[in-house]
Amino acid sequence: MKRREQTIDLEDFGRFAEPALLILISLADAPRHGYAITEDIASFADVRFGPGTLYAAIARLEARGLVKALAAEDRRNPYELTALGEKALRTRLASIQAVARVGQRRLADA
Amino acid sequence: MTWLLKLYPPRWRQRYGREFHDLIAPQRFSVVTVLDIIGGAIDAWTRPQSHLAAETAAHPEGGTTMLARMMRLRCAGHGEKPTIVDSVKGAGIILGGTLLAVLAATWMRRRGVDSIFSDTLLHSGWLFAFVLSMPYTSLKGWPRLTQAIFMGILLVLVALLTAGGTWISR
Repeated sequence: MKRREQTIDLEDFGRFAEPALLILISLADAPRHGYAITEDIASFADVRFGPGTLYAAIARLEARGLVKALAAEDRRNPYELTALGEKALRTRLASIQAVARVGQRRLADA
Repeated sequence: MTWLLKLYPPRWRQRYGREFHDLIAPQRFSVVTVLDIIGGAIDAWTRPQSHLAAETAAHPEGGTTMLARMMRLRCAGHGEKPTIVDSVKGAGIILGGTLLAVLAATWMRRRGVDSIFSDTLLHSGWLFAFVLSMPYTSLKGWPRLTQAIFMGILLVLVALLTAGGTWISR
């Protein structure tokens, strides 16, 4: 019997879907702690999440196994992307890309 | 703003408190940040994440609060399941309580008591009875003190809302 692959849709995160996506993008190239994630997101997305929003999203990502905390460094816990998190990120980015392509094509035809 | 960390559930603070504190400590006071932290605290209480609940189950001696326990019990599907006898008792309290409330409201009207009291009892008697039945249903297995506090708060809220509605409609 073929085993069904586990996937997690970030849309299930409700209002934390966007923060969760940006956190996953931030962790895609290296582990980061909370402050570094905030600064990184501000640099590439021009969005600065408040601490309440940031940690609500991190808690959801950790609970679903998309990120995991590494050993503490100077009281701060860096987080890294898990294999499941990478898969969820790839799926979400592919979906966004597909939508963007349709939008751009329609604009070009207009 | 670090004092706002106290708004979060104990289990959440134990897991994220230190890094959260370090994140907000250097920040200057801002209303937007305060509202964001309060929103995060409400979210942490009302939607506790499963990994935090699992840690709680592993450390039952931890200082859990009433609301956090309730949310975890409901989300994780734990707690004592009501038996058929419990359901019958609960239904009996709801039916009996509603009947008593109607009788009491009728008696109050005949005695000329202000209608705000009799109408409140008449309109929300079933709700009072429903709250009183909770120890046999959704609050089964909770400590008696927790049950009393939870039901007391609910009863006061129901009474205030119904009395307010009755007063406005007069």
